Amino acid sequence: MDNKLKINLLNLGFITIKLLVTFLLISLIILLLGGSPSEVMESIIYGAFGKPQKIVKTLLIWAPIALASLALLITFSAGLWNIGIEGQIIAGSIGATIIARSALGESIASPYIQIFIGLIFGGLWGLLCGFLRVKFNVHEIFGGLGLDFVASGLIVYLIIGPWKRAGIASTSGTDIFPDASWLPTLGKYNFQIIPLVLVIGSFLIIFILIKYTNLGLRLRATGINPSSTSRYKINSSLYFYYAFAIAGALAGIAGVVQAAGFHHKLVPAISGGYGFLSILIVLASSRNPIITMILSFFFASMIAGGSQLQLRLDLHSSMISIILSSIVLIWLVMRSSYLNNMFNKITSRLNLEK
Amino acid sequence: MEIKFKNITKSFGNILANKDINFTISSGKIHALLGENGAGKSTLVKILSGHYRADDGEIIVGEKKLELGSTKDSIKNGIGILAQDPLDFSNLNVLESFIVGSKNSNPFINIKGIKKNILEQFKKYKINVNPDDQIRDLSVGERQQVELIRLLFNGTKIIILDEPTNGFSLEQKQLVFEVLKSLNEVGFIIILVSHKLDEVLDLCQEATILKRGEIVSTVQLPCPSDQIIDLMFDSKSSVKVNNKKESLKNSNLGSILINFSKNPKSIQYYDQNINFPCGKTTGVIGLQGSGADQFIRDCFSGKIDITIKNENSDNFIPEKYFYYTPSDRLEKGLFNELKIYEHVAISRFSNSQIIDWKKVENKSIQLIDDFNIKGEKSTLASELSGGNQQKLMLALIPEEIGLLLMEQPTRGLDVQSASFIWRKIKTRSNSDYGSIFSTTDIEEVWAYSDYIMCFSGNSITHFSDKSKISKNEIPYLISGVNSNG
Amino acid sequence: MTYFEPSFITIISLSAPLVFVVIGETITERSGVVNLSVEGTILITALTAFAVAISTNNASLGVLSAGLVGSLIALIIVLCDIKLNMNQIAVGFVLTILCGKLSSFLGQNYVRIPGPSLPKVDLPILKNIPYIGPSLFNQNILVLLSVLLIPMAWFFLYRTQFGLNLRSVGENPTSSMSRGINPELMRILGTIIGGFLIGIGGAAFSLHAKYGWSEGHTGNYGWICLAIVIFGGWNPIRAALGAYAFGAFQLIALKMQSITIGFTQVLPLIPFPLMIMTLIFIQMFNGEKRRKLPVLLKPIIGGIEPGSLGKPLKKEK
Repeated sequence: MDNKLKINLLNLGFITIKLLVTFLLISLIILLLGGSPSEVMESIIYGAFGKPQKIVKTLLIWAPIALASLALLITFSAGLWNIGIEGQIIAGSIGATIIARSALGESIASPYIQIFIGLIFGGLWGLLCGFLRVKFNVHEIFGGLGLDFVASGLIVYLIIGPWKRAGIASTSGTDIFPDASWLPTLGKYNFQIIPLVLVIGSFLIIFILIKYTNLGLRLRATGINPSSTSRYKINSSLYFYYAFAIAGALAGIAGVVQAAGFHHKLVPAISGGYGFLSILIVLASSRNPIITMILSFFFASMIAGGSQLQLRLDLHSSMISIILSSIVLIWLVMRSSYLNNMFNKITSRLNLEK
Repeated sequence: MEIKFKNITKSFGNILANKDINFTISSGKIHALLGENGAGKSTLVKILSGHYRADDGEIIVGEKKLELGSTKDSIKNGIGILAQDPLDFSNLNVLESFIVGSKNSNPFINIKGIKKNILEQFKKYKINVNPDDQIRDLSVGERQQVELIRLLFNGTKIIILDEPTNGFSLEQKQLVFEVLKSLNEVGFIIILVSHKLDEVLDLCQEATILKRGEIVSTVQLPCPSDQIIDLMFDSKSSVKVNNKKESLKNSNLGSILINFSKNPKSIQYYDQNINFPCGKTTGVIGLQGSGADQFIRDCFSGKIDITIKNENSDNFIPEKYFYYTPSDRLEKGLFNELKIYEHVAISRFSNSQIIDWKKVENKSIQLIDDFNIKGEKSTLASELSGGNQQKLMLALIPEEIGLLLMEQPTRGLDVQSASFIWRKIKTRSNSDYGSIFSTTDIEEVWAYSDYIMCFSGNSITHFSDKSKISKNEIPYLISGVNSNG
Repeated sequence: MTYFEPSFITIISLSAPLVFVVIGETITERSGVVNLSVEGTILITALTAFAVAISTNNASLGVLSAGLVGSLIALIIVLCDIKLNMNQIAVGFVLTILCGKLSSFLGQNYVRIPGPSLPKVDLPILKNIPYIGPSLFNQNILVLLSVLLIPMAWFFLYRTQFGLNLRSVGENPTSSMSRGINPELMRILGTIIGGFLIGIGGAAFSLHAKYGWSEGHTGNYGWICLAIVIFGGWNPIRAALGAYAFGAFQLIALKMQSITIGFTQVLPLIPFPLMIMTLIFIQMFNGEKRRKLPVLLKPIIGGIEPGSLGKPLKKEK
């Protein structure tokens, strides 16, 4: 047999083993938490895909998660921990709400203007984090966290202050957006095409950016080793800004989808924790755009399906996040240099046999 | 007391750093370990100090066999090391750094006593340092002095000095040497690793010379420095010298002016300005740790004022024409997780936003072939050997006219790779503004330079056309000894 | 004085969990390891403490088990770092989410139910000290311990050989090794000790400062604590002062709630951004820039990050 084929087969086998181990461990965790693995999985699949309207909802949940994951792909490529993504999502949703509440909110163009403004708001919020990193040397984890808290303070202030509902100030959210400001729907299951178009468009842009452009290559180079950049005349600070601006813009769009597509108003928990969830996705996907998309869809289906757990099996909805973060941890451990070294040894032995 | 090295062998990967080392060091004579860069001196003393574990052999200290690869056991046997970079803690104060790892169960009970003791020691050895000072505020020389006192304080009887004198001022060095001499008289074993001959001749009574991981000979000092230089450096040329005929001078390129008077006070290499025609190769030679590499870096970063003067334009600063290759290939020159063709894309096709991978791959294949790189276009930089990494760095330099600034372009390479790299450099240097490279190898600088600059420590001791200097002078110029003495 | 005195004690009492956590994280980071999982660790340990306290009817056992869980999580992080060469930040982040969600899941049956309370300390002489005596020495044992921990942690780090060796590994493991210290062991010990304190901090939430259990009980305080450690310049006393300053902000926000009706939800959030903004200001003076500061400000502002913080240990061959 050809050695190259052998190695490919071995690779495939290795991945299969990884998936199998993950599956077994997850089943074990579900058992330990008092659930039945088969029931839980069946319930999740039904909850996510059981009826047409469930699929529509799953896709709607997928959109912001996919957008945020794509955003993080860019910052991780540049070697940055963009924990500020939650704040960038919030900034985008605030941008959307400004438009929806203005005179433009009644216009048919409102959703598109919202997307544009959300993109700008998110991008600027991201740049702020880059600014703190480049100019003040504040590590992006802490700068980002700080800006997350500022954003969540701001959103609560807006909801109970200037944008409070007539008569009552409550954290349950602002008034519902005018109809024209909702993302338009199709058919009787209220399928929303715009979020999907945004996801696919963003994916193509990010994919091309990473694979085929100098900007993407230079972002990656900066992320791998900023001290090598000067001999290639690359200004690493500039690329940090690019990364934060692009990531912020995508996260901002995710915020718009959350506000105008899902909640149809501004609520304090507008991000749904999708920012942090997306960090997990990108950690597990080894920064590969296609794997990121697949994984984000898997995560979104789990979340959509998980909403049924409480009703059907009386299991707390947090079980889904437990499963997801365990998967990521298991994968990270399996990918750690120690185990990969073992694998590499086997393949190199094969190479030597030539 | 005696230290016996028996059959010590140590390799890193495929490189044999020490091969069957057998010799004895005894107290009463300060012992020097001499040898070129890469001769295996540092590895040998790091085995003695327990930082490295030898693959084979044993070391006997006094009567006891040393447990190899354990710093703890080495310390227990009274062995202490002063390394090239001080082994201290920049964020602790002097007193704290002094007692890290101390054997006392709790030195803080008697901290005042210890502090008083340290102060007395400092006073005795004329060291002007306060125990409450932060280490980071001290000069490198002061830090080494403090480290030396610490070793004595902790009962070290065997002191290894692994080229620690780089940051020393002249007075500091004299002071430390006096201390070492007096310690030698009271029975300490002192081992000095160095390639600075002047230091060795000043301090040591005995020297063991290593070459390529093996012992060449042990000589009693003082002895004529020529003899030692002959033993240290290969007498026969290891690299083929191809003295090509001087090609037509590309006179319209003008000349390069390095203006030292314009430099900030922190950079003081030379008191004159340097001027040489374009299209020439300048070799900057200095021993490992000298200012030669830093000089190349300062040229690239624009800290040193370099201008090019020609008929068309007066004095322009050609920063965008600077092509730099660092000696830390993976740390500063390449991206370990990027493939060869991605490096090519980054260095050649930066003007177009969308990368034409077909074009890049063709170019990569051509470059890999051209530069004889042992790898495929999708090989990661980290998977290449050192020589191939160096070739890749050269291959990545754009074909356009420029000024090549190269830190030790052939460091750690075998003869074939080195001469290949030099052929590549030489083919372009006549049409370039020029190339400046640093090296620690006298043969190399003699074979490939038109102009030679010598570094001793952090200052330039010589600059001239190659014809105005003889090869035999170079060892003296870089090791700081006077050729007359 | 009457207004000030109870507030002073309230701040100390309210900040007790934060003090444990910031000192625990300070010790951890001093050994060169970032335990980013604080937010998740205090959630799960808060639950552990409460659940154990209820099932054994012994609050002290609850505190102890919370400490052990904290150590266990810390051990996972440091082993992933040393043995598997994994990124400390990545592991910490995943554990944050995992432990946090696990606490929501496992804590379902403990939401808003009563449980045993911590024993009060009754120190006969000390409690007669005017002003601080009655309130400070009439508190439960965790508050008292949190106050005592500050000088103890300082003493540990700056006045014991073990603490000094620990700090040396955080600065420069290679140098430590040349002094006969085992850097791996020091990192493991530092992280476990730190994790134990962080766990007790979690217990101090559910058994004291915010008695009981609810989902997301510790409300983002873990992230804040990570910031306070930097604010404290990796010094336990300054970190504790940072925790108290944060407690004071909180108290002011609480007091203002009665004045500004309608903004009850925003005010408790204000200290968070404020704290981080201060941090950003302080970070501006970290490292080299610190030298330019006036002498008087130096002890308060800035700090120097441990040299090997977050970096994997280099293996000498």
